[in-house]
Amino acid sequence: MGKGGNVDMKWIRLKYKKWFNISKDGLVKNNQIVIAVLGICSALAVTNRVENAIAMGLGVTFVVMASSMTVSLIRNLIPSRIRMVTYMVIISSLVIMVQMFLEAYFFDIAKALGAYVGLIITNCIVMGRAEAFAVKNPVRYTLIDGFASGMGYTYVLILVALVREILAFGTILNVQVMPDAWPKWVVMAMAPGGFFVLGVLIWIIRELSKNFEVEMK
Amino acid sequence: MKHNLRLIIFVGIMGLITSFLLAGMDALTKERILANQEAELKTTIMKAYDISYTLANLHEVFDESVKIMTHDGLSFYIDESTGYVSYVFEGSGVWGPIIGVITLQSDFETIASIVVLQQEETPGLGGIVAEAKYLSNFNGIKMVPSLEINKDARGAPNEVNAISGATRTSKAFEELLNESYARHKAAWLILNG
Amino acid sequence: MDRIIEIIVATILNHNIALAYILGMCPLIAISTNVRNAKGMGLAVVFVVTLTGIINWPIYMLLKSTGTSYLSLLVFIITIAATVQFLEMFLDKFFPKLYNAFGIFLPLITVNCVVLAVSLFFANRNYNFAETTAFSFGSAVGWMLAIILVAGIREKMAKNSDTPRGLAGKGIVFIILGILSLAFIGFTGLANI
Repeated sequence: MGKGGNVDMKWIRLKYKKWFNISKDGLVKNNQIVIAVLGICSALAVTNRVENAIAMGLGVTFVVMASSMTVSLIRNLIPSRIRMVTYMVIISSLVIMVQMFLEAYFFDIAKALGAYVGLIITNCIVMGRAEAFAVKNPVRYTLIDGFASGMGYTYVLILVALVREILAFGTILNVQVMPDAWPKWVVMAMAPGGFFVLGVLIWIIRELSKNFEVEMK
Repeated sequence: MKHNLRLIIFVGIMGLITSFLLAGMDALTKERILANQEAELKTTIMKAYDISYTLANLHEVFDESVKIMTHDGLSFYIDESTGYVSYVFEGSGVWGPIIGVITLQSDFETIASIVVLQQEETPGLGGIVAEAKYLSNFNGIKMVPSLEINKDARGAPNEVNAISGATRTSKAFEELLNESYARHKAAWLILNG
Repeated sequence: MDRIIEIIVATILNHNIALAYILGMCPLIAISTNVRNAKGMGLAVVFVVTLTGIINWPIYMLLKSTGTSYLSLLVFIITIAATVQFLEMFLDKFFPKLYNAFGIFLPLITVNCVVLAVSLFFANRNYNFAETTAFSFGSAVGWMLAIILVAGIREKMAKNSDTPRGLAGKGIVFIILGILSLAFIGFTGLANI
C-alpha cells in the first residue's frame, strides 16, 4: 500500500479491461504457435531467415485482421454447417485480391511476397481465429484479437528464425554476425532444423510459463 | 431438405459474390500487371546488354537497341553489337513456376547471365535460386552437352554447384533450363538457316 | 506405367508431403496420439485427396481453356468442400458402419492443407490425368505413412518414456518429426516427381 497504491489500482482496473485480456491471450496465454500449436506449416517453412519471418508475420497479421473482420461482420448470416468452407473462401479471395492489387501497383513488393501467398491462405491460425473468435464476437474485439494473435505468431517466428539463421548461415537479416570460420549447419535451414528448434522453443516457453498439457495416456 | 436448400443457396451466393469480386479485380488490374511484366522483361534484357535507359523512354530505347526474332511462338532478343541472344525460360519449380531470362553468348552455348523473374520456392532455401549471387555462378558455363547442377561440382565447363539444402529446387531448375534450351536451340537453328 | 510407379515412390519417400514439404502439420500433430486414430485419419485423407485430385483435374483443364485460372484456388476449395460433404452423405446412407468408423475425421479433412496443396501442385506442374491420379494417391499415402509413424512412436513413448513436462503432449511431436524428416532426407534422389 502507500506509495504504490495508485499504481496498483490502475493495474487492477487494467486486468479487467476486455481489450487487455484479449491481447494477453493472443500474445501469451493462448499463443497460437506455442500453446495452441497452429500455423506450424508456415512457422517451419519461413523461419530459416529472420527477414522471411518478419514478412510472413506481418502478412499473416494483416490477413487475420482483415478476414476475421469480414467474418465478424457477417457472422449472423453464415449457416453453421458450412462455416469452415465460408472462412476458406473469404480468406483466399481476400488474399488473391490483395496479391492482384500489389502486382498492379506495387510490383516489387508483390514479387518479394509471391512465395508466401500460398502459405498464408492455408495457415490454420487465420482459420482458427475466425472459428474460435470472429464468428462469435463483434468487430472491435475481433480486430484486437486478430492483431494480438498475429503479433504472438510473429515474435515466435522471429525467435525461431534468429536461431536457425545464425546456425545455418551465420547471419542475421543477411548481415554476417559470425566469423567466417563459423561452420554452416545447413540442416538447420531445412525441415528437421525447423522441427527441432521449434520443439525446443515450445519446451522452454512452456516450462517458463508453467503451461503444460495433460499427458495423454 | 429445406435446410440443405438454404446451404446450397448460401454457397451459391457466396461463390457468385467472390467470383464477381475476383473477376472485377482481375479486369481492373490485368492491364497494369501485364504492362509491369512487359517493362520488367525489357529492363532485364537491357540490363543484361548494358544498355542505359530511363523509366520514361525504356520502350523506345528497347525498340531501337534490341532486335527481336520469333519462330513458332518462341522469341529471341538479340543485341546487335555483341551478338548475344536472350530468351525467356519457364518451367515448374518445386512449389510453383520459375520464370526468367537467360542470355547466351553469340555461340548460343555459353551463358552470359541468368536472371530469375518469378519463383515461389521456399524463402531462404530454394529461394536462393533467384539471388544474383547464386546465379552469377552460371556466368561462363556451357549449356552443352547439357547443363548440370550437382552437389559437389568439380568445375567441369557445364557444371554448377547445387544450392546446399535445396536439392529438389536445384534439380527442377536444372531440368527446366535444359528443356527450354533444347526447344529454343531447335528454333534458333531454323531461324539462322 | 514407369512414370506412374516413379511418381508413387517419389511422393511416399523423397517427396513426402508431410516430411519433406511440411504440409498438413496441424491435423498430423493433433490426431497422432494413437495408431488407431492415425490409421482412420490417414485412410480418410487417402480417400478424399485421391478423389478430389481426380475431380479437380478436368475442372482445372476447363478453367485453363477459358483463361480464368485465377479462379482455380477458389474453385478447388469449393469442390473439395462439396466432395467431402457428398462423401459424408453417401457413406451415411449406404455404408453407415464405415461412416461411423470415420467419425469426426471426414469433416476435418476439408481444412487439411494437404488436400488443397495437392490440387495446387498438379495444376502448377501440368500433370496429365494419369500423373495427377498417381500423384494425389501417392502424396496422401505418404502423409498417412508419416502420421502412423508418429502415432506409433507417441504411443510407445506415452507408456515407456519419461517425457519432460514441457514437451508433454504436442511438444514432443516436433522432436519426433524432426528425427523422422531427417531420416527421410536419406531418400533424396530416389525418384523424380
